Amino acid sequence: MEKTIKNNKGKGIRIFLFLAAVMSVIIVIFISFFIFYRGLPLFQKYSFLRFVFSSNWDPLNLVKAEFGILAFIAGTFYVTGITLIIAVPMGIGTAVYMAELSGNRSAVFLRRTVELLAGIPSVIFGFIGVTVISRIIRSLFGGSGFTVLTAGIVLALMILPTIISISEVSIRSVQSELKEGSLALGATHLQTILRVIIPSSRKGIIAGIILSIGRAVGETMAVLMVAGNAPVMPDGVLSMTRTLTMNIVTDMGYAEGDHMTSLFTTAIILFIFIMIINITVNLFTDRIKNGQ
Amino acid sequence: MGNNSIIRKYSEKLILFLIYLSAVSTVLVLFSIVGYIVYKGSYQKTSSLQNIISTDREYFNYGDDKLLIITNSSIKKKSISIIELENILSGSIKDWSSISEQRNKINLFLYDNIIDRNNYVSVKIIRFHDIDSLLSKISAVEGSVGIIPFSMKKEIRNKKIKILKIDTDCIVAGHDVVKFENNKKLNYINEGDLEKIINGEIKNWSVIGGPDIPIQVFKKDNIEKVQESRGGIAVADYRDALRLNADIIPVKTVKKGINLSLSFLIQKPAKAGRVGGISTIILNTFFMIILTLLFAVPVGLGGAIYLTEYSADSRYMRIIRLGIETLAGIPSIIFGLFGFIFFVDILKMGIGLISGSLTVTLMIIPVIIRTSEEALRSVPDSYREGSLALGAGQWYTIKKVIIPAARPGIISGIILSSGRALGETAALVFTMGFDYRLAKGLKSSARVLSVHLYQLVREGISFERAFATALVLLVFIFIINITTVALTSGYRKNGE
Repeated sequence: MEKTIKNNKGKGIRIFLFLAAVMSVIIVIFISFFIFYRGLPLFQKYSFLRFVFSSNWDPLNLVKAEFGILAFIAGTFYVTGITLIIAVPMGIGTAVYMAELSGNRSAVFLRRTVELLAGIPSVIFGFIGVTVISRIIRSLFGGSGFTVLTAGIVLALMILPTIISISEVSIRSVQSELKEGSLALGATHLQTILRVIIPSSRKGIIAGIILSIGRAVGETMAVLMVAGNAPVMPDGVLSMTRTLTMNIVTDMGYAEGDHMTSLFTTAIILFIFIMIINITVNLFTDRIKNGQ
Repeated sequence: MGNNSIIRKYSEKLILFLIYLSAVSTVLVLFSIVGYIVYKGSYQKTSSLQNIISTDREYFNYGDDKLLIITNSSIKKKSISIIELENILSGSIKDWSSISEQRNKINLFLYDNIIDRNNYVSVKIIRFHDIDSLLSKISAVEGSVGIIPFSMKKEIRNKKIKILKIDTDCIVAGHDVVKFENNKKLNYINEGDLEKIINGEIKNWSVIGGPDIPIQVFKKDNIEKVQESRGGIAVADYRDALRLNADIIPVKTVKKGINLSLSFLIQKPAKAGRVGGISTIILNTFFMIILTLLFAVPVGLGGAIYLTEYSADSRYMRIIRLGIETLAGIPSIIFGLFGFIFFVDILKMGIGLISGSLTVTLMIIPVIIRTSEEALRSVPDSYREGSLALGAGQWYTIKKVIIPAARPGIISGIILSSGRALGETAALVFTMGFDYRLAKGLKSSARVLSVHLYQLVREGISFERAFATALVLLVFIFIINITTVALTSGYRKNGE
C-alpha cells in the first residue's frame, strides 16, 4: 500500500519533469503554429512572389494595398553584412589573443569584459547608437546619421561577445599535440596559430559566426533606434533602411486587417531565416561532436 | 631570400598588432559604453535657449499697475517668466508640473479687479476684494498663486506665503545683427558673452559669431532706437518687444549638476516621464521579473533535472535538445508577436503584467535549463551513488543531495536569466504596455525600465532622463553580473 503511493508519487514527479523538459518543444511548435496561422492568409489575397520580390510597401493604400517586403529583406542582409565585416575579424582576433597569447590574468579580465558586454540590454546599445555613433556618422558623412552603417556598427558591438566566447572555446579545444607538433617542426607561434590552430578550430568558429548572424537578423530594438526606418530599398551604406524586425515592430501598434496579417507574414519570413540558421548551427555542432 | 624574411617578419608583426588591437578595442568598447553612461547619467550639462533672461525682479507692470506674485510656500520654484505667467492666466498651464518639478494644481486668486481682461475666460479665477482673506486662502491651499498690487507687500506676514520673482526682460538687437549674411546668422548669445557685451568688454558682433559691426549698447526699453540703429542691442520688456515686432535674440544658458538624484529614484513619474522620477517603473520591473521567475524556474529546473537525472529515454533527448536550442535562437520580436496573439488576444489576458511575464518566461526557459543542467552535471556521480547505496529513492536523492550540491550554480543561472528579463524590450512593448503608473493587478499595463528608456529616446522626451534611466538599468545589470561571478567562482572553488 505504502509502496504504491510512493511509486505513484515518483511517477507523478517523473511526468512533471518530463513535461518540463518537453515544454521547450511544445512552445516552439506553438509559436510556429500561431505565426503561420496568422500570417499565411495574406497569400489568399496577395501573391507570395509579389510579397517576397516586390519592394513596394504601401499597406495603408485604400485603393490597392501593396505588401512587398524585398526592401526589408535587403535591409536585413545589408545591415548583417556590415555587422559581420566589423565583428568577425575583431571577435576572432580577441579570441586568439585570449586563448593563445594572453596571460591567465588578462584572459580572465577579458572574459569578464565579454560577459559584461553580453549582459548589456539591447536598448542601451540602441541608445548609445543614437547618442554617440549616429552623431559620429553624421559629422563624418553628413545626413541624418541613421544609416545602414550605424546599425551595422551597433549590431557588431552586440554580437561581439557571441563570436568571441564561442571562438575562444573552440580555439582552446584544439588538441595540444597538434600545436606542439607544429612548434616542434620549427614553426613560430604565430605560424602555428594561423596555419594549425585556426584551421582546426574552423568549424567551431563558423558555428559561432552563424549563431551571431541569427542574433543580428533577429535584433529589433537597437536597430529600430538607429537605422532610420525608411521603407525603401537601401542604395548604399549611408542610406536609411528598415529591416524585417523593424517592419514588424513599427506597425504593430496600429495595424489592422490585412496590414496586421502582413506583419505576421513578415514574421514567417524572419522565422524561416532563423530556422535555417539554427539548423545550420546544429549541424555544425553535431559534426564537431561526432568528429571528436 | 633576405627580402622575403623581412617581409615575413613585418607581416608577422602586423598580424600580431591586429590581434592585440582587436583585444584592446573590445575592452575599450565596453569601457567607453559603460563610462559614457555613468558620466552622462550622473552628471548633466544641459544648455537651453530662452528668450526671457533672468532678472529676478519682485514686481511686474501690467498696464499702469505694479503687481506682485505670491504663492503658497510649498512651491519650490523661485521665479517664473512672463511667458509662463501668461500661460497660467490663459489656462494653458493648469498645474506646476510643466514649469517646475512639482505636481500641484494651480489655483489662481486675484485681488479685486487687477488684470481685468475678458479673454481670460477659460481659466477659473477667484477674485477677493479683501486682502486678508486672499492671503489666508493662499497660505491654506498648496500650489495656489495670487496676484496683488505691489503696494500691499507689507500686508504679507504669514510664513506660508512667499513672493515669486518674475523675469520679464529679453534682449533685442538691430535688424542687421540677426539677418542672414554669408549663409550664417547669429542665432543666440551665450549668457557669459551677454555680460561682457553690457560691460563693454566685447565691442564687435563678429567676436561672438555675428556680422562685422561694432556693438552699440542702448538703455533699457529703447526698442525703436535699437531697431533703427546699426549693431544696436538693449534689454527690453518682452511684451513690448513682441508688440513692436523687434528682433529678439535668445540667450543660451548652461545648467550643470547631478543627473541621477535620489529624488529621481523615489519620485513617481508624470507626463510620460517628463517630470518626476522612475520609482513606479523600477517597482513594475521587479514585479515582472518576480512573476517571470515564478513561472520559469519550476519549468526550467524541472527540465534540467529530467535531462541530467532521467536521461534513460534517450530517443526523446535529441528532440528535446533541438527544441531548447531552437527556442533559444528565436528573436524576441517573434516572442512578442506570439505573446500578443496568444496571451493578450486568445487567452484574453489583455496587455499587462501577466501577459508580459509569460512572454518573457518563454524566452528565459532555455537559459535556466542550460545553466541548471551545467550545475547539476558538475555534481560528482559519487554523490548520487552514495545516496542510492544508502537506500534513498531517486527523487529523494535529487531533492536532498543533488540540488543542494548544485545550488550555487542553479541560483547563478536564475540570476543570469533575470538579467535577460530585465533588459528585454521588444517582447514587452506589445504584451505589457507603456503605463508608467504602479501596476494595480496582474492585468494592468506596466512599463519597465528598458521600455521607459526606449520611450524617452523615441519620443525625444529628455536625453538627460534617458541617461539617468540607462544608468539605473546598467547598475542593476552590474549587480546581477557580479553576483553570478561571485556565486560561480565560490562554487568552482568548493567543487575542486
